[in-house]
Amino acid sequence: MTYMRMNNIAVASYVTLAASLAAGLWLIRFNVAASILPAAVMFGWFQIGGV
Amino acid sequence: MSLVGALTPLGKAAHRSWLRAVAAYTVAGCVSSAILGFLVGEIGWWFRARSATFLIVPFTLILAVRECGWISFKLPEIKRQTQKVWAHEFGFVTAAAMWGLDVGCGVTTYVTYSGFFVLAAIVLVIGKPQFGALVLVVYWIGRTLPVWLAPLLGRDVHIHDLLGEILANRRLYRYGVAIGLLWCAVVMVAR
Repeated sequence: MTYMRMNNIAVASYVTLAASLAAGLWLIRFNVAASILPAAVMFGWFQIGGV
Repeated sequence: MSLVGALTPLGKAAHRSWLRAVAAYTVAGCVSSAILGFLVGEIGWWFRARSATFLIVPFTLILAVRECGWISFKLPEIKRQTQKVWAHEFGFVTAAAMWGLDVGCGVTTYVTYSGFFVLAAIVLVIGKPQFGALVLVVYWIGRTLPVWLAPLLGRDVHIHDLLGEILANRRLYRYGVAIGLLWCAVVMVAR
């Protein structure tokens, strides 16, 4: 059986994604515009794959 | 160039220098991001960009579809990277600050994913300079997180293997950005 170990960067990316969505869902109840901020963190993190 | 690749080896060799360099990188990028966000918000206010708010959702959805790979087009970008030679000319800490100022501008280097453009568009239509500065500084903080965490995430591997791991997840980054874009569309509809 072959399998691929998920690397630390992938784990950290999934954590960032989940935490950002959770934070966005929580923030939208208080301030709709502010709920963009967790997405901004997520976009910044995923730029790790950029040049 | 990859700032993870440039700064992480320093963390293994000289921890204090690495800390100063990454702090300088972060603070300098906060300055340029804040200025850019403030200016975009100010431009949005001056030109009453609020009237174009209805365009944000389709714009965001088109970019989300692009990130999923279902359509393909190039993003507007300047094809350049920060200068690695600055480290040799000015030392790592000063060079890191210069890299931060440069990369923090957002559009002066390659833009691989479209999240930045949607944030800038949202800042433009909302037209509040302070909010614009906040959004782009938060984006920058997210951008610096891999540089801060790389020594921890790659403590058991050589820097080349760590960079290989980063590049191995490119589909994940694209789908992650697409999910973030969908979230932005939901927020703009809710607004």
